Amino acid sequence: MTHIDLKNKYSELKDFLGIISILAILSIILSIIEPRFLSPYNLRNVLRLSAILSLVAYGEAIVIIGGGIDLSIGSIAAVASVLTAMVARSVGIVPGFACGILTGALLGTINGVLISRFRLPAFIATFGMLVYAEGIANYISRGAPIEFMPEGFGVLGSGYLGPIPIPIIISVIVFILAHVMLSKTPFGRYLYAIGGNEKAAWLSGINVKRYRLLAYTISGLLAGLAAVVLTSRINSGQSNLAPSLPFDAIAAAAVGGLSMRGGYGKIYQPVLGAMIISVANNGLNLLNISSYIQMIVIGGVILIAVSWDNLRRNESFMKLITKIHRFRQSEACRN
Amino acid sequence: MRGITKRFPGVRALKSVDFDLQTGEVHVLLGENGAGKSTLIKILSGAYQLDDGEIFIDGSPVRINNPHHASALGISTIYQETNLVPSLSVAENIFLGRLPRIPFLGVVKNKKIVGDSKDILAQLGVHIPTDALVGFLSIAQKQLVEIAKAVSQKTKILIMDEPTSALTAHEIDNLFRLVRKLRANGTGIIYISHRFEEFNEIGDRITVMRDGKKIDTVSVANTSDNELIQMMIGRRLDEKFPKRAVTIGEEVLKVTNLSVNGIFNKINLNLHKGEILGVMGVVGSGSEAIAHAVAGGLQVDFGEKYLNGVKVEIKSPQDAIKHHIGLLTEDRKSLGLMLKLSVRENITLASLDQINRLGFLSLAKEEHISNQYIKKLNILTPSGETITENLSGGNQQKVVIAKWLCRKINILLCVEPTRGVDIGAKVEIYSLLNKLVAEGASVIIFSSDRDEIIGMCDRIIVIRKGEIVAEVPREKFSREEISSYAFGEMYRKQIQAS
Repeated sequence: MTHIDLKNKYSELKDFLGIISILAILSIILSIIEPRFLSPYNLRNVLRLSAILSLVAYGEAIVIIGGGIDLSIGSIAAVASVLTAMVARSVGIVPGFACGILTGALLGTINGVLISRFRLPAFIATFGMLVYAEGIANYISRGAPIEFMPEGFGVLGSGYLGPIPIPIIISVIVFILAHVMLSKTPFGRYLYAIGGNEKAAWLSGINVKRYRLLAYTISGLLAGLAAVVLTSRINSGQSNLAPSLPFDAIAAAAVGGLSMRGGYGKIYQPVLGAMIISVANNGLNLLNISSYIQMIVIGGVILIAVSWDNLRRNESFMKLITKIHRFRQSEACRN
Repeated sequence: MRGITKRFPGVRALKSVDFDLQTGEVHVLLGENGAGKSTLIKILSGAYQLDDGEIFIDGSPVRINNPHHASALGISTIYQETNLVPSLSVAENIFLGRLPRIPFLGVVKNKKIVGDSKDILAQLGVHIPTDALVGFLSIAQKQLVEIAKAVSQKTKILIMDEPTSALTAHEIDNLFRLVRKLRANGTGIIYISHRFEEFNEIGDRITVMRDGKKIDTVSVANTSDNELIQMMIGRRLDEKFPKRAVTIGEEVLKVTNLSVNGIFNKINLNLHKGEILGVMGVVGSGSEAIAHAVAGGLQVDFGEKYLNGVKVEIKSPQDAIKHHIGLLTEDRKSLGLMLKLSVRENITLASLDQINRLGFLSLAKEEHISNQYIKKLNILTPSGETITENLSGGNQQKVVIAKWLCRKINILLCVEPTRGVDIGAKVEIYSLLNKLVAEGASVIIFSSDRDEIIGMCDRIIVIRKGEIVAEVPREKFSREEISSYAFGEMYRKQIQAS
């Protein structure tokens, strides 16, 4: 490895540190303004929710790296939630969980087939699925939450393994799997290739259709998993479980620094992004700020994050920044 | 331009280069790929920012911040990669950014742009309808539209980066006629080309660059080709086409009746083991499409393919690779490489399932293999982890070749293998191909460069307008004959006249 590669690794490290510091600063500011933020109960809550959000953020990130986008995960989660609850009530808890995950995978596969085999643009296909799945969820549940879950249903979402909430453990396991998959398997490499230059990937013999399909299946599966955990947490199946889920997931990925153009990205990015968003959401809740303002804030955060990503790649902007930086340094040296 | 320096991550592209242009001259910029010519003109055209140095126009210092600023200063550029909008018409592209509007209403004066475009195209002798969508034009036609666009902007400094690489002889003549007219009008033209016969014909002065430095500026008339080559590569070039004798074995590939409606018709060809077959055809004759069809990238309407006598179905690049056929495309940047990934990742891209056991990538193994190929093919790169984007054209091409070698293909189809590649790297690529066939593989070169085809191939098939018009074995090669087959009657008359 030459000095240039070290420079690349160094800038990757800088990105990582940059995002972590944003998270740290945010948390510190919040703890100062609202000390309740630091209460164990609240912290556990935040971690739990960010764990759930990060599950779908992984799925979304995988799809985005492969050059696509998945707008439907909110509705997929809704269907999964409803079915999980119904099956858990009638057949059993574990079949219920399994059903939720499989439903997610199935709907994700449908997305994948529409996009890879029928060549529908990802935006349109997943948007269609968004509407379609929401309808199904509402129909099955007749618009009402499904309650009276059997004993022990809530363990997954609210329970602990020792001191650690279970959702976090699940999230960590998925994180490790996702990391291994993206960086250590051919599938991961092919995803980066397809997202970077689809035509060249095709001509190099990569089965673009198959891997695209797989990416959406995974995204759906993770949405199903997140739904299962969330449903378990609130102990009821809901058809409006998390309507803003895809946007939160995309936001998490973007804030974490994932490039929306595809072909780029590391797995820690959606995780950190999910944490930042969860912390931000939580903070705004604690401060009793209206949820509409919350949306404005989150929207602003996304815009800033994505603009920063673009600006970083812009040569003249970076030159300006380095000039200012050097100027300040020389000023400091003189004094 | 004085003392121009430019740095990219890991590479110093330009080291204190001086360059000047007089009004009314054609100044040729010559150098191997990676010598820095493209970088220099990109600085002049505002696409890159210089790190050090100064630029003066008409004696006054300027800073060129972006391409828009450059064209306001009277600098126009025609790049190798066309900068047109495929979904807009020819007329709209010519006036891109300067669409004349009716004041107050803000409506585009359609008649004006169509009329003006028609005038310019007529001046150039180009027959493209002004309402044609650029996306449907061939590469050659797109280049002509680019030239029309630059001409219409009434430039003082016109930069042309390899403008003729995809033009026919007739179109090149037209272009030169226009260049002479512009020169007579006082426009200064910077002309980048690898083709010696071209700048001998149209150039006034030549600046030779090598490794990011200016070597010398000389006048075209007083300098011989050999002197120029020596300046370019720093050593004598005795053999441009290293050709060795290889025993040719049995037939390995045969296609019959290959047809794609509207592109080519009833193509029959066969390839033998150890043979280099040449398919000569100008841009637009269908030869590139044939290559893609044989390699599974293009769906055929009719035709059969046989490998070693056995009929096979090759309907996708994956099928082709399974049968050990590789395709070296004509456009490495958009079709052959992942520019944002490293050299190592590109080399191993088509072979991941073979390199890695148990479904997991082994970085160490990949590095080992890719370093082998970097050494074997003499790819000039700081390391295997360098992002492929930062390599020069010739070295990028070598990376694509390495990708196929890594997959151990037996039949390599090359389309325009040395387009946009400098002389030094060209020779290396030719030697590589020779080595390949010496080791038992077979190669088909699809090219419009007749010197290349004649120099490298054992047998030539000539394609014109989608059909085979001649098949010539090596003993019977003659430049003029082959060109006349490829270009048709018109060319034969031209060479008879000259």
